[in-house]
Amino acid sequence: MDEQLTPAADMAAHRRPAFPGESVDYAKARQDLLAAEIEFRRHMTRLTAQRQALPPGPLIEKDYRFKDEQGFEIGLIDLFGDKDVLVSYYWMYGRNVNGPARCVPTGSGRSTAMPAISSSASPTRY
Amino acid sequence: MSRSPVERQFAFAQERGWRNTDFIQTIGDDYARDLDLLQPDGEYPALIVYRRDGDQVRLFWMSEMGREMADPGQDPRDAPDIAALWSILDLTPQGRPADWYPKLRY
Repeated sequence: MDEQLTPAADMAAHRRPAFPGESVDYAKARQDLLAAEIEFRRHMTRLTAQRQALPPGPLIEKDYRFKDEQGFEIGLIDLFGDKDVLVSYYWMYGRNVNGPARCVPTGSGRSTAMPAISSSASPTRY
Repeated sequence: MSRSPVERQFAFAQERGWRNTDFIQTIGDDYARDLDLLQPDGEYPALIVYRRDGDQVRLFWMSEMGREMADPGQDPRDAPDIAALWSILDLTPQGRPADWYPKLRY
């Protein structure tokens, strides 16, 4: 795929600064950074393709049980609702957790992304 | 999902204004234990994507960047990181503070 892509440095050369008054040093360093950012984006795209190309993962054989917000006991399959994909996040809001929370920002991001994910082509449930 | 009571998780989500996310509580510790999330130094998170396969469930992908794969001076983290907070902090001159974590309440 990469062969057909315009080199990142060539793309970055089209950079147009929004504000006047850039030093030469800033302009040079920012253009180099822009090229690196484009390469980073491309790397993420390749990662996504590589992930999507994974062979089928293992079947979950164990019957894990959960309690939902209504208090009902359910299994993993029930968490899908009418969707085919389930994005799950196990977090540590445990009985003794009162301090700093490393896992919470992840939960926060999911909350805002969810409506868009539901309406995307991907039949995914969070 | 969490070992924490589902009511407690939901109350926290309400407090934070989180919407559109379902919460569940694991019954027993099999799930956390099988995933190796209960460690002497604390509990660890797990980001897992499952897919339906008929009436069964299949793993699609899960984060496997374990704590032993963290680089020196860094907390374990995924790439890409799905938590926008850290990506936003990375855009600032000081980056993400080395010893800073968000609080549970503000």
